[in-house]
Amino acid sequence: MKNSIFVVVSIIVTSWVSLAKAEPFKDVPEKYRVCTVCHGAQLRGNEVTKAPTLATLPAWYIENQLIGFRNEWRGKHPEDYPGSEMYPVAESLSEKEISKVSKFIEALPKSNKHTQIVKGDSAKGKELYATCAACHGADAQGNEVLSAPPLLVQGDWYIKQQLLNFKNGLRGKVSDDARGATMAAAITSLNSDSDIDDIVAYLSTL
Amino acid sequence: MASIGGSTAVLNTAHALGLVDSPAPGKPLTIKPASGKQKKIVILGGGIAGLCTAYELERVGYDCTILEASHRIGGRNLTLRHGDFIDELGRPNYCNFDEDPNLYFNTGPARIPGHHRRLLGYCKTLGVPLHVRANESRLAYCHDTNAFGGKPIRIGQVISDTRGFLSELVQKGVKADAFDQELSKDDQERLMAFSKFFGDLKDNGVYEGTTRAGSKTERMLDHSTPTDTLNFKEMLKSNTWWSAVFASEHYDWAAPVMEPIGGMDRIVAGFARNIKSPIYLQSQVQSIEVLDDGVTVTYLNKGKIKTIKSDYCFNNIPAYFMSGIENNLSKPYTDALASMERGHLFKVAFQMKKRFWEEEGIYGGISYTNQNISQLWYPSHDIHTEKGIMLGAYGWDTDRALPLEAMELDERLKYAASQGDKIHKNYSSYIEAGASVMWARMNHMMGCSAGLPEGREDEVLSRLYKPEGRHFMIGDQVSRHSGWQEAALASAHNAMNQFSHMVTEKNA
Repeated sequence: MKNSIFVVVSIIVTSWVSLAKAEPFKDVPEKYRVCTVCHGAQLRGNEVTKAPTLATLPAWYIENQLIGFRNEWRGKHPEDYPGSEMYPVAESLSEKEISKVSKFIEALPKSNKHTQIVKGDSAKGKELYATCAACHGADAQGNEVLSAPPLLVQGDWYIKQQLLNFKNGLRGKVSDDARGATMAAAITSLNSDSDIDDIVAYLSTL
Repeated sequence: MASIGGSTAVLNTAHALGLVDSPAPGKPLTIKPASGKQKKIVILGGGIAGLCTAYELERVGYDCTILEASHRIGGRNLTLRHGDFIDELGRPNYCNFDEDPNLYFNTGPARIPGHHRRLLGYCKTLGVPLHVRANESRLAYCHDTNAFGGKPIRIGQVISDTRGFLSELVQKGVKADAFDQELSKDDQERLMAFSKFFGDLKDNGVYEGTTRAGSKTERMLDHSTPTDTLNFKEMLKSNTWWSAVFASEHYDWAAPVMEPIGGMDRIVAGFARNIKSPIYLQSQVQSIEVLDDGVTVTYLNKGKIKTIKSDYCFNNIPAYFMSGIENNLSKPYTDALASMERGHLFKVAFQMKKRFWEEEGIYGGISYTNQNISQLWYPSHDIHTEKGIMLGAYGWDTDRALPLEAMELDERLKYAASQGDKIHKNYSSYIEAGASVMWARMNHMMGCSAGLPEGREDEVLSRLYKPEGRHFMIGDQVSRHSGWQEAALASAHNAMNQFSHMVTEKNA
């Protein structure tokens, strides 16, 4: 009797999916290990701790953001808890350390772990993205000259969160934050939160 | 069959579907001695559950290895003393208490009630002496900025008056025939007698104060005179008096509670003394790959990626980190892990240059306030010595925690000190050192205690109470009682019972 149960059960069992498909891991200097606590192994992100993917983001963007945190452009809005978690860490870094860690992050292997979480109308998102493309590029690869980051590195949950932050005044509202202000102005072209979902859904198709 | 899933995977799925009997959670720990070749165990995380697992499995013949991400073992069982490193993200600092073995502070678990049998059992077995910690003092204070003009009231007064006023209401109810449906006349008479005693009422059933709350006159040489009663309506304005009166009614806080002499981390040291398994510190897990015949774990140590292959894995890592650790666990299992929420428990401690509370008749126990600091704890140990460490703030809800988390270290201490000043005169002037531990900001922990998603508790726990393949999730997070060491041990015992059962079935 027991054996017959096993026969039934075994049909629906599949072998463990190997991790071999993942990009290989790179050594991480001890001083940067602290980043991986929230941002995950190889800085590939953790949506549960609300820590974005960093691996392969260009050094200039990481640098801008760390300096942005240090200047209190990010992480000081009372409703931005994940930002407030990053603030003291960025604040504790020197300019030299910021420059070094940014280069390290840029050179990490690419993450391929993202799954689509945000649901939206990607066709409508494609139309809406035309405005974004002016700075972020039609291929969403970003543009250093315009300080516009690549958008395909991130998990969709993070892009959505940041667009909401810009829309709701949690980011891009501190004076002196010219780059943030540019994005905060651009976001006013969107009428609703569902527009944001649509854009994020479109990005997932790229 | 085995070629499809491997025998363990088959067996495990059978367990998951409830088709094979597996040990029920809460059963006493029984592990069969190791037999066969599959003896290698990797334990991820050196918290209480991880240490307990190593201790028990190596005793029955398994080869265990513990990988711990931080610079120390013990997890949230952290006792601070002079010079200890407080690894807060972005604000790393060192404890500045005086160098004195009596000046310590338990930043995580701090009390052990008598019914935590597993933990008390280990204390006994591991040679960890305990003493009683007063968890209640009737001479400590209840303080509410919205009641009694913000004046702190002795808890004994609050308890006595609460009983007095409620008893008087009971007497009025009986006289108004309010209980005629529920109670016979004889029962009502007995209730009158009991309530008179319970509230210390006058013969006419009126409460006019009691010497149980104290006396306005010298009690040894003179007649006691009851202290003035509080205003009942004023009491009802405050929520704080509930916690002051009823804290000890909580099963886990009921007096007496115990604490290890010298600090809660004596338990960690007790395990460490009795464990032979290697413990690798600063070894942070990067990936977990569960296979048909074992578990492969990669970790980061001194900048290098290293790999360890084992037969079975017990995972004590905070569940919310698992989304950042590459793994091949199933989606339902990782969804359950990802649903765990980070808790925001925090404590602030002060070294006081003088044990001023003892001059107010307070020897241990807790004062309660509606301010953000919530509680003040007085040490029960080393009474009448010069200095003492007291708890200056304690909370676990986000409303209390978030403002403090955002503050710089000095700012936090000043904030807690200024609120303590509302309870004790010159409180701030006694402070000569201080430390804060905000668990949601502590490196490698980032939370205390783990929260189950509302409405999904059963689903998440039923998933995690069982292993997935050769991977067992452990820790107080995998329980109905997170934040307690007893829960960590219960979870570890449950996992080991499942493990022993799995291995026995496999070898059968």
